[in-house]
Amino acid sequence: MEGGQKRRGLATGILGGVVFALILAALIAALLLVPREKTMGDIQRIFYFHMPSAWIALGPAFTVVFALSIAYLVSGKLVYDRWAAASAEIGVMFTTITLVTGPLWAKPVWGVYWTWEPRLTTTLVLWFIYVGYLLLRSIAGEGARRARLAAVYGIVGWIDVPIVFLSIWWWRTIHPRLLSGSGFAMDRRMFEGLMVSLAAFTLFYVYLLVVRARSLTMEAEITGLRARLRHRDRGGDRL
Amino acid sequence: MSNLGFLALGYGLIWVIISAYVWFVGRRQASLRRQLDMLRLEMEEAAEKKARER
Repeated sequence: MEGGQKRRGLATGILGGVVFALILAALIAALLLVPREKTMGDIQRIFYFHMPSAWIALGPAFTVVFALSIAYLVSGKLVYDRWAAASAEIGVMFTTITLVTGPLWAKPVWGVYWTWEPRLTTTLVLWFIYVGYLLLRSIAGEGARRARLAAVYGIVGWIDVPIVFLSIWWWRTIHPRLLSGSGFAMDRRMFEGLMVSLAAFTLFYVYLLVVRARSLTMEAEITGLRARLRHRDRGGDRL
Repeated sequence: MSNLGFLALGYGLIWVIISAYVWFVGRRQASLRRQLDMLRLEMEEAAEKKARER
């Protein structure tokens, strides 16, 4: 058990080091190596952290919440609920980055920080949905009841994810489209810079998910131990 | 504000958000580890006491 914990700690440490190096590489690529965009100028460089943040939230983070919520409802195993909670929390953090960097990119390009256009509005709604998910978890107590409520919310709330993704095709919007019929519409070096950022953010998500899920497992263990101690204090025999 | 000003502010805020979250996660984990160690110790002591009583 001790050896297993040490190995897990070492693996997490190595993953953390790789993530740090990749994020540093992504930062150098975004600020120094990729070419300056002709129309927007240097502000376009914010794209290399804005888009991967949105990708993490919409792609892995909230979709994992959705999948694990289904897994919990089917199996009743609380481990799925804990990993879903960790993923939702990380998704909210990355959505916050998306919502903060978007307006800072928009102001010099569109002339306004915010406009109620479909992509921005649905992303803001998404942020509120998952902040709501975390609030629900914090007020719903512990155990199976909280897990069941959160799982139902996690499944229903995910409906906004494809809406955010498809909003730029469904409605008239000023938000740029990265994907065209022929793939990514961008310069090769810009594409490479984006891929480094996407790899860095994806691994960062995995790292945070592992660390956060471990914390939530410890919380569950603490709750269990406290219950056993209470049982003992009330004169119960089992320890 | 210039283009570079917005860019610097954007990347600055990204690092503030990420650092705040990583700090929160690290602090929470350290606190949980302490609580868990204390509870395990308490359980061990209680089990030993029970064994002695028997």
